[in-house]
Amino acid sequence: MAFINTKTKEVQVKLVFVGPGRGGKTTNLEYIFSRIRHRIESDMVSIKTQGDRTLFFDFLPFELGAIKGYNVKTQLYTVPGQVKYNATRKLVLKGVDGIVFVADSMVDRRENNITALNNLSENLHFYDIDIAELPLVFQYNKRDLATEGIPILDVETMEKDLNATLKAPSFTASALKGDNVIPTVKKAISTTMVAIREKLL
Amino acid sequence: MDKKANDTFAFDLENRLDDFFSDALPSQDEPPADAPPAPKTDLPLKELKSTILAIDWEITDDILDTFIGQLDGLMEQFEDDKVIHTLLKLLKSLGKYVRTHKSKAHPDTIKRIMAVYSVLEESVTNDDMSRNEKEKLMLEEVRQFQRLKALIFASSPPHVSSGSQKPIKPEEMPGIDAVVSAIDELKSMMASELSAIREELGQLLKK
Amino acid sequence: MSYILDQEQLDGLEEALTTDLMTLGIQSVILIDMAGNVIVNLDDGKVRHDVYSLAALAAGNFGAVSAMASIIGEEEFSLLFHKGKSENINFTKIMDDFLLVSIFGNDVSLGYLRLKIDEVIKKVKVLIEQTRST
Repeated sequence: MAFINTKTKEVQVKLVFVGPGRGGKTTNLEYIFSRIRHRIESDMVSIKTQGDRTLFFDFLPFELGAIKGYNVKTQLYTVPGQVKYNATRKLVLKGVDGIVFVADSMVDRRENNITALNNLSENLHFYDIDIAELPLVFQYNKRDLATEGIPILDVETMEKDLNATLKAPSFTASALKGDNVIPTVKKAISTTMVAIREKLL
Repeated sequence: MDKKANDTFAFDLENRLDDFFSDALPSQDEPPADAPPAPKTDLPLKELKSTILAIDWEITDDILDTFIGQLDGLMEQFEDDKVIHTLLKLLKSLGKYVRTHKSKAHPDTIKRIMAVYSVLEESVTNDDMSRNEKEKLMLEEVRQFQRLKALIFASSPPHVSSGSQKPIKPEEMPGIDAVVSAIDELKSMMASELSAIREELGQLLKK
Repeated sequence: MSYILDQEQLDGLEEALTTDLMTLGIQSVILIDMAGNVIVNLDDGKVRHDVYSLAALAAGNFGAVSAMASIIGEEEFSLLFHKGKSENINFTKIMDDFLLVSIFGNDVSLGYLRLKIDEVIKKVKVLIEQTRST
């Protein structure tokens, strides 16, 4: 839930990166952090297992500064993708304002993408949020695998599987290489901020 | 909501995002704040209370030694008050028992410590309580203490020391053992007196 | 570091935890790894909670608290305990990879429970280290 202080003119939004396990959510945040760390005060917080799987969340807060008189603050979170961490995932989604769905382009992860999206929808429903009403951006990650000879799904298939009804903005990307990571998060932030302003101000 | 205003906001936001995610500009440093010093308060039972609270959370040799030391001090202070002195003695006995047996101590021991302390605190701080009431509560605690002692001895085999049987004075033995040995002494005293009486009786009857 | 525990070790762990902790009359004892996987799950027979979610959350919680400790300059916190109206939870780290979660009522003193836990941890460590793989 966006935090808006009309007195101090501060807006704070929570964006969560969601998707199947090992899809690249944490990699997205790590790349974003590497790009902005020289201009932010806080560190990125990662609560993960020894095997580098997200256990609770990754967290990256930053201030965008004043825009039209409003001090805009953003909090990026990732959730654990593994199925067994659903209780934890639900916790992290509490108060979410916008979503980046990081889908795994690998062919054998097709089902996992769909399951993760359904799970997201269920978890949002728990908080009385309709996924169709929430600002959402799709990222079809790991496109770089094609160059290594690993079979990946084509974008049309992924759009049909995941984005047929929602018709949300989508980006192909490679979080590992940093391709389209920034455009994804920029789109997510702007969509979310505009939606909040429209709703509450 | 004014659509035009939102559009210009969106426009500015996009520009800001472009700037933010481009390269350049260093971050600022902020000096760390100093923590203020914690205030101090002390009252005789207050120190014991904080030790009691600490025991509730964590049981270590240090805490127990502090506990016993504090009790010794308080026993001197309240020498003339039988009720309070007895309660302090109970606490010391229980404390020493836990100090010796640690995790092997009976699970109810800590509960007993808390209960006795509670009565002690009430007796010391509540001026409205009559002498009789305080004695009643104290006696109840003594009864509960005896009950626990009985439980402990029911569940564990008696100690048999190997090697030389040097007689140990009850004052030197820890906590509950001292009470038990005092009772045993009393029993053996009574037994020997009883047999002396029987002998005398026997001799009288012969005459 | 990964561990492979055979049936004998698991039985040993169950026995140690039952004898030293469950006999105190506590509600449940769960031995988990830091990824939230349940290794041993013991309860008093009256419990019906979702132990798998509890384990995942416990591990996440512990991870979050460890991160907080780092932020404030501590290596770790020695006491992780949540007090409820009638039930309480205590977390104890065992080596670097395991967490002992104890759920108990107000009739058990935390200090005493922690004493018993310190004892049982010694046994748990011995059992786990019996066979180790890298």
